[in-house]
Amino acid sequence: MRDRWGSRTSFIMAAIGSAVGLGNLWRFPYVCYANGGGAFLIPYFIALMTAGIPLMILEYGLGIRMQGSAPKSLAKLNRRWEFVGWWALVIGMMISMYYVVIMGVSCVYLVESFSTKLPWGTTAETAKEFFFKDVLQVVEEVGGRKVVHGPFNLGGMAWGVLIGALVVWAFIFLIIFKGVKQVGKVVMVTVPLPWLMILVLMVRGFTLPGAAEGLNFYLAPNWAKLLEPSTWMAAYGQIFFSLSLGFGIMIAYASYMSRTSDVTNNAFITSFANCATSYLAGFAVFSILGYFAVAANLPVERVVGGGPGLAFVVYPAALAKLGDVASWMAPLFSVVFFVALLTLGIDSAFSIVEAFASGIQDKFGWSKTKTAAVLCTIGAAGSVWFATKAGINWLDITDHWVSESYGLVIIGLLECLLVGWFYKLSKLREEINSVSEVRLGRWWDVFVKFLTPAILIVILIQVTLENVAPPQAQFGQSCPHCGRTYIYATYPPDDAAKLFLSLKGDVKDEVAAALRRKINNPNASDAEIVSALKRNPRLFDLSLVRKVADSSMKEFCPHCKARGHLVRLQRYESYRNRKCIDYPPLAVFLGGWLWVIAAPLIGLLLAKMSGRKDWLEAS
Amino acid sequence: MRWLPFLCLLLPVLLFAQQERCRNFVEAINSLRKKEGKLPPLHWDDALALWSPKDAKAPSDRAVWYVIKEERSLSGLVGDRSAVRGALICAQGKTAEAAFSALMSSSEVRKRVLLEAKYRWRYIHISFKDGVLKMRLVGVQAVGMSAGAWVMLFVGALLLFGGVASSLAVVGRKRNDA
Repeated sequence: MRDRWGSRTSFIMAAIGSAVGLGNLWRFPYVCYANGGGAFLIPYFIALMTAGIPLMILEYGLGIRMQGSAPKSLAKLNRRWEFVGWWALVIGMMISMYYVVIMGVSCVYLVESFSTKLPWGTTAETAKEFFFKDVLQVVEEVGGRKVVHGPFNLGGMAWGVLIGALVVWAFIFLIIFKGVKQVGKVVMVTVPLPWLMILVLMVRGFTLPGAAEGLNFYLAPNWAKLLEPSTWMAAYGQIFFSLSLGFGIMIAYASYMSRTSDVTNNAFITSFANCATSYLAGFAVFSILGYFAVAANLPVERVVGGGPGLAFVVYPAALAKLGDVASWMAPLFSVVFFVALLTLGIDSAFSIVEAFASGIQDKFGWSKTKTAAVLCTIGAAGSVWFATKAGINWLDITDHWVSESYGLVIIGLLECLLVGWFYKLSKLREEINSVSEVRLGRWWDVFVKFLTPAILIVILIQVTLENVAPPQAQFGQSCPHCGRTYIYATYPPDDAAKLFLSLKGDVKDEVAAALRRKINNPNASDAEIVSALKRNPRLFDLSLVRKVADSSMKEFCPHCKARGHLVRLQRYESYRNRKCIDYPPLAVFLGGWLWVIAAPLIGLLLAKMSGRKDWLEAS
Repeated sequence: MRWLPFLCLLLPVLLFAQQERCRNFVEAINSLRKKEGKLPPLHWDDALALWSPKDAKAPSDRAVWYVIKEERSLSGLVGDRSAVRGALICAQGKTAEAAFSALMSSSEVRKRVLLEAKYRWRYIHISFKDGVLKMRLVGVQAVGMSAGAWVMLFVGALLLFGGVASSLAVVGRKRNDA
């Protein structure tokens, strides 16, 4: 007898918990700001209605009708497609290995928050140093020299992060080993709790000076951005990545509902709740960043960011700055924030493992306890790699290739193509309509068969072009007064040696010191550095180029100054292939391509293994 | 879900309060300006032009409001006042030309007050008595949310929270129909 949710509410809360993750807090607000502010909400909503919800309905429909995990559901459609289901689950497990490490980092921050004086300080610089040096330990002082651990210099374990990750894995085991009824009880706490925490941060943020300025950056619409294709791609990408689609999670969760359960309205509720959470999180993020910008004497655009940089550097520094208002506020709101991060992440993490466990149980008939124990052990073993001192490098590479580039997008595309083109979609629609509260029209067929696959193909082409194009970056400023743009440095530099020779003053000393460290010659003369740069221009890496650009930035627009005006200059940066920009090709292969290739192969292997008798018939 | 309407109300109320605070501050500044009977230049660009040692005359013995765009917060709650303190140290007790010259020649003040002064408007009350400059810090103009941001705030809330609410509203409809 298949395991069942305690109630429909449990199922919806669990699905929301899986969809709402760290990305809602650290990705959506930044993507919104970077793609037209408030104007971004229009393509975001259209993407939700045309791709997010149709795919969600598809996954729920498959799970409820087939009464099985992703491999079982797809195998029931056609035995040859079983491996696609396993492929999705393997991708999920790979992602969970580093996702849990990020939660381990959150654990370290949470523990450190119980202190009257927060150890990461009140500036982005001190917070960055704390993050890299004290928490990740990717930067270390060895014999008075600063050592940065590259991908192949593992340097031992970052013990705090490892312990945090292992604690999270233990929690995942404890949550899932008793079955989905237990999961249903846990999500009743772990889903509303981050909402409450976000609300607390939002109310605190709204009552601080500078909040309105931050929110202006979040929501002031830039309508011109709607004409740029990249804005629409960002909207579709954000929707696809934030709804936990392509992991097989929603198929597994839906399979624990009875055959007569609603499909369509549950998909609407889950998707809207996920997007509303992202939208709400934006207020908590930008109101406090607005305050931080005012308090730290920085323009808002200098403190705005996304990803771990936001969660573990800028936002903690902003929260520490609350100590200027009252000393008890900084630790209190830091605890609130990191509890929010952990509770946001834990539902997503255990849903991935639960989906895999469901597949194993369906095919091999293992007990839940055994499956959970084996999967959590494998996951924890994989997390050890990402919790080394060089782990952040591997996390960066694997996340880019497996999650952002080729994992989920390919699975989502295959799901649409297999079900849309090789199965009677109209039949599935009629079956869904027979049990649902909201009736699906033919539009759903069109979206699943044509629009969503087309969008996913475009995303796939776009990321491939970005990955194969040589990395480039430009640093400069644009003057809003006269509209001119001034590029001060490019990466890679046109002529690294010439650029080095053109430097003067403090920046030259800093760059020379960094280059001497890179060539392992603390006494190298300028001529020796120039000769090394001629041999290997990549020594002049992205961080050095950025340093040079920062030192060259002009306070006066060279054009307007002639007219005697002081003008506001805005920082301008553009990147291509921002991720993996400085990693050696071997590291990119081992941390990226190898994982991308391994996932379908493991999927094929699992599909070829013989399962228990009549496993496709059992429900 | 009962607290959802409360949340929907709370969010704009708090933001309105924030906006009101910004507006009150600006009004307070404006009333002070009116009281002084002067309409000061609104941009540091103009102030700079006025103060340029080459072609500008030093203001006579009267109070002038200058608006300096700069990045430091002057709120009593946050930020430090070192930039303005630095400016005061350089300018206090000097004649207008000397003060300007001191401001521009001190690299520290140039960096902190003038060159970094590009993100927010700071109001400084500058007065001259007997040819001597006096500066008084008044505050920073807080920027409220733009009309466009307000509109998108409601559009976003309507689309997303409205989506959640309307989906929840039809829960159980199938059973009722049956």
